[in-house]
Amino acid sequence: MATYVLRRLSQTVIVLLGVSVAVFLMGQLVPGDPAVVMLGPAASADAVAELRRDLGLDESLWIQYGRFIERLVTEGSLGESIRTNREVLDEVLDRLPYTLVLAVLAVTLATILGITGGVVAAINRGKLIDSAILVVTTGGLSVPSFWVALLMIWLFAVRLGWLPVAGAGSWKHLVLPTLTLALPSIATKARLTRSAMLEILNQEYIRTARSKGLHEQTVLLRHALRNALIPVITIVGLQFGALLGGAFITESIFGWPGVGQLAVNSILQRDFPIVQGTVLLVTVSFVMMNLIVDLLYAWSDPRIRYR
Amino acid sequence: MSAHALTLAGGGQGRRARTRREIVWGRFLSSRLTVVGALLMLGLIGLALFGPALAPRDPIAINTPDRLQAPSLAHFFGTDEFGRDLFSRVLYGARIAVRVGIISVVVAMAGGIVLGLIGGFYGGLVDTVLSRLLEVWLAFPGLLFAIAVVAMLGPSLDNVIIALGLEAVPAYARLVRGSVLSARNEQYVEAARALGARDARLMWHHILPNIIAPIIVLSSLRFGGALLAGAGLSFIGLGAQPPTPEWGAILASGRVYMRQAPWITVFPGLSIAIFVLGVNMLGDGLRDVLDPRLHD
Repeated sequence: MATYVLRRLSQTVIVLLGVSVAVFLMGQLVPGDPAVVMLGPAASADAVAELRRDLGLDESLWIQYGRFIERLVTEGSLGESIRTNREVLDEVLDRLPYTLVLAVLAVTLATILGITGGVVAAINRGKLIDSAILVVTTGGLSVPSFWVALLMIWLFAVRLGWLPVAGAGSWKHLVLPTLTLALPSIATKARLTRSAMLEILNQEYIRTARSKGLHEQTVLLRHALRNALIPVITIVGLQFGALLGGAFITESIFGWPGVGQLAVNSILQRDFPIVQGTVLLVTVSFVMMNLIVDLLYAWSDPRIRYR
Repeated sequence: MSAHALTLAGGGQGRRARTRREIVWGRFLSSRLTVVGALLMLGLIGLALFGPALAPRDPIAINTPDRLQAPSLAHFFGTDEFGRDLFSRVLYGARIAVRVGIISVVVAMAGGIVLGLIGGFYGGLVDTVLSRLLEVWLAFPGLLFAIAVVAMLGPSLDNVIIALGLEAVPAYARLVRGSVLSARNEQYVEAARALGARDARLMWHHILPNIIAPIIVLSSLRFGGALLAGAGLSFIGLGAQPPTPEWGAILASGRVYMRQAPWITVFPGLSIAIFVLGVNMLGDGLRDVLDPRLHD
C-alpha cells in the first residue's frame, strides 16, 4: 500500500506542476499586453513601459513563472481582478461554495437515480422496461442539457410558477440547476451499472449463491450489486470533474453565482486573471478529488495496488 | 445422415466463406438502431450540403414587420425577434454543426494520432514525457480545457472548434498509443521492418491501417460530443456570435422570448437533440460492429 500511495502522490505532484505551467502559459498566450489592458488604450508609452517593468513583464518566462509560483505559495495570491481590483483567490473562493453545493447535490442525485435505473434495467433484461431505460438514457446523453434547462424553466417557472427562473437564495433555486447538471451523468451511470450487473449476473458465484437457495433479493443486492458498483464508483470521481466543467453552462443559464458563472462572465469581460484563477482552482480540486478516490479505492480493493 | 453430410460438403464448395467485409456489413445492417443512426447522420450531412439551397429565405436579413410570428405555411418554424425565418436559420445551422463536428474531430485526430504513434512506437523516455503531457492535459475536467482555450483566443465559433479539437487530442493519443504498443511486436510489423521499412513508413502504412476501426468509433462519438459542446458554448456566448444562425446561439437569443415565442427555443433544440442522438446511435452501433470486444 505504501508504495502505491507514494507512486500515486508523486504522480499527482507532477500533474499539479504541469497544470500550474499550463495555466501560467495560458496567461502569457493571451493576446494583448496586460499593461495596456490595465491602463486602458489612452495610456502613454512611457506609462505602459513603467508598468511592464513594475509587473516584471520584461523578465524571461522562467523568472516570471517562478514569481507566479512564489506569489501563489507565499502569499496565496493569483493576482488581481482587472474589473474589481480584488484578489483573484478571494473572488473565486467567494463563489466556490455555490458550485460545490450544486455539484455535490447533482452527483448524489445522479448516483442514486443512475444506479437504480441500471439495476432495474439489468434485472429486467430484454423486457419493455429495459428498452425504455435504454432509450431514455441514450436520449439523456444526446439531448442538450441546456435545452432541457430552458424547457424546464418554461414549464416550472414560467407556466406553472412553482420555481424561480434564476438566481440563488432558497432551496427552490437549487432544483432546476441540480436536475440540469445531473441529467447526463444519470444516463452514464445507469448504462454503466446495467452492463456491470449483466456481466456479474453471468458469473459462477452468482449461480452458486442461487443454488444455495438464497433469496433472489439477497443474491442481487448482496452478491451482484456490491461487485457491480466497483466500476461505477470509479467514475464518480471522473463524473464529479465533468460536473464541475458542466457547471459553467448550467450556472450561466440559471444565473447561479458559482465559479462557472464567474468564469464565463470574466471571459466575456476579458478579465483574464479571474479566468486563470478559476481554471487553476477547479483543476486542482479535480486532481485532488481523483487522488482521494483512487487512494480510497486501493485501500478497499487490494487488487488495484498490485496492478 | 449421408444427405446431411452431402449438403455440408456441397455448401462448402458452393458458398465460399464470408469475408470480413461481409460479416461487418451483415452485423451493421442487422442492427436497426445503427442503421437509423447512419441515416440521421447522412441526413445531417445532406442538410449541411443542400440546406442553404433549400432554405426559402435569407437566414440573416432582418424583416421587422414579420417579427415573432408563430409557425405557419409561410414560415414553417415561425420567425424570430428580427422577423427572420427560423426554418431557414435552422437549415443553415446544419452546415455550421457539421463544420464544428468535422473540423474538431480532424484536429483531435491529427494531433492524437501523431502523439500516440510517436509515444507508442518509440517508447522509453519519449513515451514517458508524452504520457505525462497527456496526463496534465486530461487533468482539466470536462469542458474546462476547451473553455480555457476559448478564454485565451477570444469567444468565436472558429476558436470553439479549435478548442474542442484540442480538448479531444489526449483521447486519440491514448487510444493510438495503446493500439501501437500491442501492434508493435506483431509479425507483420517485424516482417516489414525486416524488409527495410523505415519508422515513418512502418507507422503510417503498417500500423495505422490496422488500428483504424477504434479510431472510427471514437470519431463518431466525438463528433456527437462536439456538436453538443459547440452548441452549449455558443449558447452561453463563447462561440458563434449573432447573427450567425448557429443552433446554440439561436436558442440563446430565443430564451428572452420564451413566453411569447416558444418556437424559437423548440426547433433548434430539437435539431441538436435529434442529430446528436443519431450520431451517438451510429457510434454505439459502429463500436459493436467493428470491435465486438469493446461491447458494454
